[in-house]
This record gives sequence, structure tokens and C-alpha cells, in this order.
Amino acid sequence: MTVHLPRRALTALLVAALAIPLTPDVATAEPNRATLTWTVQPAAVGGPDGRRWIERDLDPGAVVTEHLAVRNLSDASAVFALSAADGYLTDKGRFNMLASDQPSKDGGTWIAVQKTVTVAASETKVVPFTITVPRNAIPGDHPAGIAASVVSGAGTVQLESRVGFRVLLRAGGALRPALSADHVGVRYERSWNPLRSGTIHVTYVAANTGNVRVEPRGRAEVAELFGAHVRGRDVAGSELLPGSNHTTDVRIGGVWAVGRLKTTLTLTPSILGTTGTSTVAAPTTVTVTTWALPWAQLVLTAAVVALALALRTAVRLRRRRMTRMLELAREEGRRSAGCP
Amino acid sequence: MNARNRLRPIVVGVVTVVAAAFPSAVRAEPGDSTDVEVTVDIPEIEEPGVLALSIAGNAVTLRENGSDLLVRQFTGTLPTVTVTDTRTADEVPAGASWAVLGSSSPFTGAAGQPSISAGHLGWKPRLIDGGDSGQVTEGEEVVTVIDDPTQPGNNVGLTDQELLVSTYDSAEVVGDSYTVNADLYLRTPADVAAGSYRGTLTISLFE
Repeated sequence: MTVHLPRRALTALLVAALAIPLTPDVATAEPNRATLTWTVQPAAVGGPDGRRWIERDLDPGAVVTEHLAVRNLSDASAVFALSAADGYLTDKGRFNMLASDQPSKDGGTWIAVQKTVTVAASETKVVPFTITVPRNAIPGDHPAGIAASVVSGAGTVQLESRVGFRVLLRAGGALRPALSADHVGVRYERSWNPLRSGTIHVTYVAANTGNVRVEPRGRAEVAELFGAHVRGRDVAGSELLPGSNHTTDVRIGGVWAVGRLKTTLTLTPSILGTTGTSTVAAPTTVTVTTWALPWAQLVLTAAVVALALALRTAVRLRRRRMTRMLELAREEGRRSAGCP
Repeated sequence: MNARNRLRPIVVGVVTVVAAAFPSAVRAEPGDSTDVEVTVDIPEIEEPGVLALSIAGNAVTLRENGSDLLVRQFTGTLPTVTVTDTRTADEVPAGASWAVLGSSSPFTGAAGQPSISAGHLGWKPRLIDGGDSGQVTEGEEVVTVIDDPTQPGNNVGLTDQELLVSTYDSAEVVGDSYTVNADLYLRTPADVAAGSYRGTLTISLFE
């Protein structure tokens, strides 16, 4: 009896001692077991080689071997599915590759990689992959991506999570950088303060119509007063893969609404990548003419004129009344003096 | 005497557990002859940092929630996605930016019933930990094709790549980790064929 009571108390203490300090650990350990952390990087045979992505200029028919490193940063071993697919940029300029249920047609089909790789906890595995350029490959860029993914098993929504990098493949031949500026819209945003200038908004869709990755660079200018006054700014868009486009909005401040506004947009495709710097690309120029009437200033002028007219009328009326009153006073005086 | 002998292993056990739980308690004991000195050599991390993705392994199951006479709605939560960037600013190429994008496949019926297009799956990303820089933001809500847009033109569902979380300049946000999840909802007309459906939501991290 004397033994049982303290023992029970001690058991309670033991449980408490176990429970209190260990609970936070248990709480973090639990999701950790289910959480998988990994990364994928371009690599050489020995391991990641510090490249951000893989960029290769290859001749049609070429076959090369590259490597990717899958690094498992979790505390459990995991099996990763490896896949390559066509790469593209979203309308917000983000790189991605096609999902596994969409078939690749271009650069993605040139890459062959083993289906899966098992990577132990805190380990890095280097996996080779081959790039085979078809003999009849069209010159220019054929962007692709390569990724290691995990797929959650059960559930209504299967979750495929991927980490990957770009594999930018450029087939040799004639490089043709070309850009078009489509849907150019010009809008004048006036300031209702008549003493302040307004802003020109230029929106356009820069589309890569060539066969290489480019960055649109150029200038937007607004000429007013028949060219007497020109304001402008340099514009630089985000990178564009062949066939992709991006909407850009440019603002030019300090523009007065005084009639005809001639907005000129000039874009030059600047080639991105390792080759082709010598290829000269023709700029594309679009001119849009808009009319902006100085409403605020007109309203101000009208108000000033109306005020001046009103003042003049008021002064005239007062003067007339004064004259009439003087007249009355004089008559009154004459009457009181001449006819008593 | 007898009782004390029987108690001793328990006392030792408690001390061991407490010591294990509070390692510093061992050293705090003055005059303890069994004082253990623990030395740890933490080597300098020389290897370059990485940009990694973590995903909680639990699956997403959508459950019927909030259906009415016209629309059946199934909701769930995307498991927490974490992006960890252990690189230093020098290791990040100029102009680099990363993004986690999501897109769904159609939901195919297990018994051959017509599939439900990805446009019926919407999401609302929720930033749980955006770090200190304020340069990491969650993507915008995307509602389904049978909803009215809540922002211009966002009633398209997860048909094309929609943003979960992103940054516009990787160099600004290195050395931290960012967590995000999302409310998921599948909305279908009330006359959708009954049965079990399955779709794949692809989450991709690219820089």
C-alpha cells in the first residue's frame, strides 16, 4: 500500500515527463514522416554543376548525354518519377512543362530518361539522360523541361508534384528572330486638375513570330504639337519563346492633351541564349494616332470667361443703378429747391 | 527499505527520461560524477544551396459540402506546399524568379461515365508563411466555369497553369522558406452522373 501510492504518483510523473517535453517533437515528427522535400538540378557525372538550367546548341541528328541530380532532403527514402516534356511560358511569363496527361510534340520528345529513380534519405543521385535531335529538326529553339515528381496515391484528386529545370534546345540552321507588336492600344488618361499633365497608356501584345528565344526591347514615344514635343521611355518585355506572347502596359507621363498625339512603339527582338548574337533582327514599328482634347483646360477657360462676363455684368448693373439713384437724388433736390 | 529498492529503477527511469527530454538538465546537476560532456562539430556548409519543394504526402479527397438544387459542390484542401531556398544571393542568377504552378487533368469516371472537365475545379491559394521580405505572393483565386467571375475572367478552372505561389526576384527571397496551401472546390451541375471520379492536379516548381 505504501508502495503503490508513490508508484502510481511516479507513473503519473513519468507520463507527465514524457508527455510535456516530447509533445512538440511528436507533433513535428508526424507530418515530417509524410512530407517529402526534394530538388532537381542540372549535373555533371559527379553531381550538380551549378548550372541554372541546360542550354544546348545542337546540330540535327546529334545525340548527347546530359545529367540531372535528384536530391532527397527528407528523412526517408523515396521513389521519384522522371519525365521530360515540351516547355512553354504561361501568359504571365512563367516557365512550365506540359502535364503528364498532355503529349509532347517538340523538344520534350527528344529527351529520353529512365522512368524512376530511388533516392535514399539525404542522398543525391545523378541520372543521365540523352538528347536526340531529329535529322529533320527545324532550326531554332525547341524548349523542354525535365522534372522529378512524386504522385500521391489515394484520394479523389491525385496530386503530382514536380520539381524541374528547363532544357533549352536549339537546333542548328538559320536563326530567325522576329517580333510583332499586336493589339496596340493607346489611351490618354487626363488629369482633371487643369494645371497638371496627363498620362499615355500604351498596351500591346509582343508576340515571338521567329524561331528563337528573344527578349523584346525598344521604345515607346508620344509626339504632340505635330512633333514639336516628344516624350518617351524605353521598354523591355519578358522573355518570349517561339510562338508565345506577352501583354505589356507602358505608361508615359507628362503628356498634355493638345490635339493630335502620335504614339510610336518600336520593338527589337534581342536574342537570348548562347548563339546568334550576330544575327541582326529588324525592329517592328507601330504608330497609333489619337486625339486628346484639353477638356479640363477648356472647362477652366470657360469658367474664367463666364466669371469675367458675370463680373462685368454685375459692375454694369451696379453702375446703372448708381446712375439712376443719382438721377433720382438730383431730381429730388431740384424739386425741393425749385418748387417749394 | 524494500520499497525503496523497488522504487529505485523507476526513479532512475524518470531521471533518464527527464535527462533525455532536457539534455541541459544533465549538466545542470552540480557535483554529478557521471557528468557527460557532449561535443558537436558542426562543419561549415560549403555545398551550394538549393531551391527545394516539400509536399505533405497526404492525398486530397474532396467531400460533398454546400451543394444546392442546381450545383453540387465538393471541397477539400491542397496539402501544404513549401518552397525552401537555402541559396545565398550570389548563387542566384540575375533575373531569376521561381513559381509554383498548378493545373488539373479532367476528372474521369471510374465506371465509364462522362468525365468532368478541369474547368470545374477551382482553388483559392492561401499563403501561410510568406517570409519577411514580402516578395513572395500567392496566386489569385480561380473559380469554376459554372461560377460568375470574382475577378475579370477568372472563371476558367484549373485548366491552364495557374499560380499557387511565386516571387518576381529569387535573389530577394533566398535563405527562407515559404508555405502555402489552397482551398479546392469541384463544382458540377446537379445532374452530373453519380459514381467515383479521379483527376490529377499537377504542381510544378520551376525557376
